[in-house]
Amino acid sequence: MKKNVEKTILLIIEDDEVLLRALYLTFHEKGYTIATATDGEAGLKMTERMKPNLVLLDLIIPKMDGFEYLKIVKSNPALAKIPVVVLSNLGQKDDIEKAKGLGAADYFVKANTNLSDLSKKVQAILAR
Amino acid sequence: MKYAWLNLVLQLTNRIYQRKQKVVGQEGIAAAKNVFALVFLEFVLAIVSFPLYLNLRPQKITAFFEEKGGYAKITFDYNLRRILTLTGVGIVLSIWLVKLLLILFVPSLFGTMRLYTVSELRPPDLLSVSADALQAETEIQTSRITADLAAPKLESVRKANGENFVFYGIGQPNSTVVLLLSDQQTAVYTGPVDKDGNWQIDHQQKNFALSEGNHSVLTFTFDEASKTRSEFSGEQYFKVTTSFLDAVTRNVDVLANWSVVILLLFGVFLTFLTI
Repeated sequence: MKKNVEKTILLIIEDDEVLLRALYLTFHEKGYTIATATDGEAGLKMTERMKPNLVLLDLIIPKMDGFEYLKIVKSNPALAKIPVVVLSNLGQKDDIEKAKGLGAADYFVKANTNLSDLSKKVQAILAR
Repeated sequence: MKYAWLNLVLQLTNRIYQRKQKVVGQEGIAAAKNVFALVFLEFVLAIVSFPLYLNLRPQKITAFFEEKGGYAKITFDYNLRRILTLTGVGIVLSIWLVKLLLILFVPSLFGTMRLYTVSELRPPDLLSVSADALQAETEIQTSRITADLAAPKLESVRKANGENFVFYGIGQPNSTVVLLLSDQQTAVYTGPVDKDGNWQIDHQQKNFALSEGNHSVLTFTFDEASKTRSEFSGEQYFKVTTSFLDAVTRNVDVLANWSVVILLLFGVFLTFLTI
């Protein structure tokens, strides 16, 4: 299992460092190559340079928020196919619809999220 | 198990976010309550997330805070904040742990002290007790000794807060106990005996500092209504020592109390910075 996913790059964009480390630990254990960014601009630069297989995105992040990031990534043909999974504190229906409308592959509200389920969902999306 | 821990970290970060959102729209007591709840959650998160910091390189982010209608940008090391919180929690826990260990393993500092009787110990320089001391208390001085009143019994001396002394004993219910405590001078204390015959007298070192060494204690019962008193009880001694542990205990006590206050203020300050 590990060997198959070793070259799979997962980019985590999250400004809360504690949570970033928790996510790092969750996915690194699965054998993914993990890249991290703590703000939107850094996340976008890393997306352009690394072309990750999947992006795990927080919406409320410094410098460029997650919606803006999604808009730019999905409007760039070179990056548009990269699945972006949102993991956010924002749980309003409007926010979820907006993110999905901008092209998010899935949306997880932090208050209701189980990291085990998130990990399974990421695996499922990558397996498509 | 690992997921349970990581999920807890996730839930705590989310709770903190939700609280911060609430605080921004609140004022007064409600806001203060939420700030303290935030500080508490940060403490919990700091402890729970501690393993995440091991063997991982720290990273910095830029934080913002609102100020007088506009946004001002400050650079704040988020990681440093969490580490500081963790350090603060660690220091407080350590101080309280030391205090607990002292209570458990050095009971002499907090517990009962040894009382000596005259036959065991009788230092020659401590026997100038009664006459001078009684001068100060006119009623006691002029009281008549009666065989109707039984002398009270000093049963134990305990050290309080690593510094002060509390004398415990039994006596005639609803009477008054007079306790003479000798040093260079003699302190005279009076205290009531309750209906069950128990009495307690507190000695504060700040009012009358007992020097190191042996101190004699004499007690008798005094009846204010009839202006009579009992005979002296047998003279007893106890030893005052200011050891290194005494000093540690006293300082740990002060530190333990102040550390909580300082940490709370520090936590509130850091929480305001990141709202």
